[in-house]
Amino acid sequence: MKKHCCVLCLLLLCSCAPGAENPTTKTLFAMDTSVTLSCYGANSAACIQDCEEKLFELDTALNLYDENSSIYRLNNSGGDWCALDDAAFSALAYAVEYASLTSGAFDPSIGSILLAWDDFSGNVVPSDADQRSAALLCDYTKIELDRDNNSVRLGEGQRIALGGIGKGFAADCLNAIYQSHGCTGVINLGGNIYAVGAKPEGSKWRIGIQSPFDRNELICELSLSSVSIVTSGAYERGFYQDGVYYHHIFDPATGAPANSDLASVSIIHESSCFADAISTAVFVMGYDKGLSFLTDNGISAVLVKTDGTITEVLLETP
Amino acid sequence: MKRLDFLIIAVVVLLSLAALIPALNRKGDIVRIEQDGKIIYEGGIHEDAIIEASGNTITISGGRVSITAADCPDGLCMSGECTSLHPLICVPNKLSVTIVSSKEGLDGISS
Repeated sequence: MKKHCCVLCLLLLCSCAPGAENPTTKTLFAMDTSVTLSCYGANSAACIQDCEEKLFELDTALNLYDENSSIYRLNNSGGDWCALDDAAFSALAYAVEYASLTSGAFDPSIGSILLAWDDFSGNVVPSDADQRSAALLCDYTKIELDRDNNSVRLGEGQRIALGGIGKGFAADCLNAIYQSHGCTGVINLGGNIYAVGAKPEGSKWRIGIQSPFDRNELICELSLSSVSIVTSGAYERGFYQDGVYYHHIFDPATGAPANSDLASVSIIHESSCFADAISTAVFVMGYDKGLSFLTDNGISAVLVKTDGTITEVLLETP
Repeated sequence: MKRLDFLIIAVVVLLSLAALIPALNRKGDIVRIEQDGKIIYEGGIHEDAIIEASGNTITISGGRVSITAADCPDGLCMSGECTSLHPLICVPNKLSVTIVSSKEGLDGISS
């Protein structure tokens, strides 16, 4: 009887354990944004610690304003060959690849345009002539990569800015850390999401896409696992001058903010770096060209036009 | 069964039920304010309060949460209210204001 009693007690204690497994979470600031890491697994604390270290490493490595970064040195190399650290070279190599894929709608040499706009301080709107001059320097085909030596040579007057790919690159690095620790969870870098694996009980993560018209509303909710979703939109960052709104997604061809009929573009892909670059490129392309590009390349996406029309592209049915 | 057996069972059941008390006591949404990685405030959304963080003032009033003062260069954090879908962030002051919903919600928002 006593044996049965003990077994019953143990069962009662276990069945009344409060709630499902709780994640380890951490909010920190890196890469000029708020980062929230939510991590499930026996090694979640060590995983979060490793993620934090990687984020601060990348914060410097990919930052064109930080004198300690190889990107800063590259931009000040005067057209000479310049050796980059592994992370910076890898990110730039991906950026050049995606620039080629998008025929320059995404271009990492956008730094010349940023410079014309005073690094988007909100204080400067360059003349049309200055915008065009800056656009001429924005040409990914002039970037030379020496993969054997992690070295890069830029064309005359060129300047690299990896803001369009940096958070995605970082999210991929953090996803790899999660997996190496056997953890799952959600990585959120300022709205760049990586849904790592699935929830502990096996269901997918519920990820919403913010409406570009009202940040307190969603346009849809997706069930995702082992995939990233990155959204680009004019609403994210911009300034007004003389009643005109200037957003932060530049068209490499014109040197001006992209004149797009899209309000937001969300790309779903297992590479967050890819999703980051493509979301920017498709925004620049506009709806018709962007939709063709996505369907031709088999890329899943959600497009929101400025008139409110929502288009889902190659999304899996749950 | 002996009296001791009944006593053991009763204690175990009571302990099990006690573990549920935090969940049952959770009423409404919680406002969580973090700065530089540390939680500096946590309280119910219906508990009016004015919280002075380093560089920011957060006001909770009538179930609404907003940043009402900030010394950051662009003041972006002061636009709009905090909701469970949309936290308020002040990057220069490393401040985040989130509403933790008592209802089962989304795992993330892409924006």
